[in-house]
Amino acid sequence: MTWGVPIWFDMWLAGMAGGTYSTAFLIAHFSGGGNRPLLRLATCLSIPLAVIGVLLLIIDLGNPLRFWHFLTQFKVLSPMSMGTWILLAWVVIAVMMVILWRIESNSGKETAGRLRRATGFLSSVNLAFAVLLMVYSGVLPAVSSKVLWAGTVLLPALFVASAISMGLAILIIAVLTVNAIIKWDSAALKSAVTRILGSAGWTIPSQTVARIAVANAIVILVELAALIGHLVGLIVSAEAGTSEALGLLITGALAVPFWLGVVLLALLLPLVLYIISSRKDIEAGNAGRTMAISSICVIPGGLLLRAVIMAGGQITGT
Amino acid sequence: MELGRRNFIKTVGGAVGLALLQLTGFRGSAEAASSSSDVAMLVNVTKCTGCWECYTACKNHNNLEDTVRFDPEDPPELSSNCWITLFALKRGAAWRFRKDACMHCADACCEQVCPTGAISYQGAVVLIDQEWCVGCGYCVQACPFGVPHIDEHTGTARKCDFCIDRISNGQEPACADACPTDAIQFGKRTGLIAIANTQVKALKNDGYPDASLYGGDEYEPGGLHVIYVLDDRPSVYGLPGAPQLITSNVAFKWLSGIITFGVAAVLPLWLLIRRREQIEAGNQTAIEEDVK
Repeated sequence: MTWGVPIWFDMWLAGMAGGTYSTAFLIAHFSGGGNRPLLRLATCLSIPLAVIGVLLLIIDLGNPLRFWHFLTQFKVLSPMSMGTWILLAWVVIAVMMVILWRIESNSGKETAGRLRRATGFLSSVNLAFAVLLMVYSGVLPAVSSKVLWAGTVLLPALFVASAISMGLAILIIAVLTVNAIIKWDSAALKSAVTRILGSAGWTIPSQTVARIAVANAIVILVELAALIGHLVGLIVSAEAGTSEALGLLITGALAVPFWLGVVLLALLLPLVLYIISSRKDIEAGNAGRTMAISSICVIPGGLLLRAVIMAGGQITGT
Repeated sequence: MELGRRNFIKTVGGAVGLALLQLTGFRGSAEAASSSSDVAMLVNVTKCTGCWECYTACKNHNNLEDTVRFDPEDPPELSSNCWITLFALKRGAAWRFRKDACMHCADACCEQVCPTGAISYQGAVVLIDQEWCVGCGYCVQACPFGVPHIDEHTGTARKCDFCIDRISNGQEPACADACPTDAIQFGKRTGLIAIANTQVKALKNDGYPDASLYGGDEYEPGGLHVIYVLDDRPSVYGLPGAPQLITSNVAFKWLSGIITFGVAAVLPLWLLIRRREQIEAGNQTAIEEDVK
C-alpha cells in the first residue's frame, strides 16, 4: 500500500490540528474575547499535532532527505503541493503567535496592547490556514483516480466534518481538564496552566462547555450526512469499481472497522452521549464525565474513518 | 565599483529569476521543447501473439530485474521493475493480449499532481526525474491506468520512459523494435491514428461490431500517446471507459470542504454561543429594567 499507516496518521493529526485551532478561534471570537485563553490553549495543543504530522509525512517519503524539493514548487492543481505550503504557513504563524503571547505576558501595558492587536490579526489569518489544513487532508485523496476517494465531491466534506468534531472533542477534554486542575491543590500544575493560558484562574463556564457538546452533536450529524451522501453518490455514479469498493466497506474485509469503528465509535455513540450530557447539569459531575467519554470516542473514531477510507481506496485498486 | 554593482545586480536578478521559474513549475520545459510531441505508439491487439518479446526487450534495454512469468493466466503485474506486461483475455480456446504500459497522456494526471515537479513532459514522453522524485506516491494514486510504482530500493516512482534515449536518436522504443508481428508500431501520432481508424473499420467489417480505437483525441486527458486498436469494448481489455482528468474538478473539492466548515462549525457555534449570549444579555437587560 503506497499510502500506509504514516499517511493515515498525518491526515488524522492535520485534521485535529486544524479542527482544534479553528473551533477554539470561533468560540473565543463568538464569546466576545472572554475565552481568549482557550485559543492559546488550542494553539499550544495544535502545534505539536501538526509538526508530528509533517514529520510522519517526511518519514514516509521514499527519499526523506529530498523533502525540501516540495518547497521549490507552488502547484495550485496539486493538493499535496498546496498542503505543504498551508501546513508550513499555519505552523509558522502559530509559533509566531505563541512567541508573541510569551512576550506580551512580560510586557508593559502599552506594548502588551500592541502585541495583542498583532496576535489578534495573526490568529485571524491563521484561521484561514487552519480551515485549509482540514480541507487539504480531504482533497488530497479526493483528487486521485481511486473511485472510493474521488467518486463524489463529498470526501473533503466528510474529512472536514470529522476534523471539526475531533477539534471540539479535544477542546471539551482540554477545558474539563483545565477546570479540574484549577480545583486541585497543586501549585505547580496551576502555574503551568497559567503560563499556557496567559491568565490565572480562567475557567470556561460550564454552560459554554455544554453548548460546545451540543455543537459537536450537530457536527456529527453533518459528518453522518456527508458519509451517507458520499456512499449514495458512489452507488448512483455506478462507475467501474464502485460496487467492489462499497462491498469492501459494507460487507467485506473492512466491514468490522467501518461499522464498529466509524459508524458506532466515531458517530452514533458520541452523538447519543453528547445529547444525553447536554440535558444534564454539568456541575453535578456526571455530564462532564459523559462529555469526556463521548469526546474520547470521537478522536480514535476519526483515525479509523481515515484508515478505512484510505485502505479501502488502495485495496480496490481503482 | 560601478561594474561590480552591475554584476552584483545581474547575479541577484538571475538567481531570483531562476528561483521564480522553479516556483512556477518550469522544471523540464526547456528539455520538452527539444523533442517532438507528435510521436505515438499504436498497439493492435488482434496482431499480438503473446510472444513476450516486448517485455523481454524492455527488461534488457532498461536493465530491469527479470521476473520471467510468461503464463497468460498469471501475467506479471506492472511494477517499478516491470514497465510492460500483457493483459491476457481468453476468447474461447484462443488468447488475446493487450500490451500494457504507460500511456504517456497528453495531459497527464501524474504530472499535474506531482508536488515537486519531478514529472515533466519531454515532447510526447512523460518522464519521472529520478534525481528529483521524493517518492511521495501521489502519481501512483493519480494515474487512471495504475502505471507508476514506488521502487523500494531507489525510493522513487518509476515507469516506462518510452525509451527516450532511443527515440531521441531516431530509433523506435525497444518494445516496438522487438515486436515480430508489427502489433506495436511507432511513429507520428496523426499518421498512426489514420492507420488505426482503417484497422478498426476492417475489424468491424470482419464481424467485430464493438471494435474501437482507444486513446484518440476524444479522451479527456488530451488524448494518449499509446493508441489501441481493440476488437471489443475497452472495458473488456481492462481499460477505463472514459479516463478522467482528476484535477478537472479540484476547485469543487476544495469548496466542498470550505462550505462544510461554514455549515458544521461557524453556523452552530454562532447560534449556540454568540446568539444565545446575545439573547441572554437581552433578557438580563430586560430584567434589570423591570427591577428599576
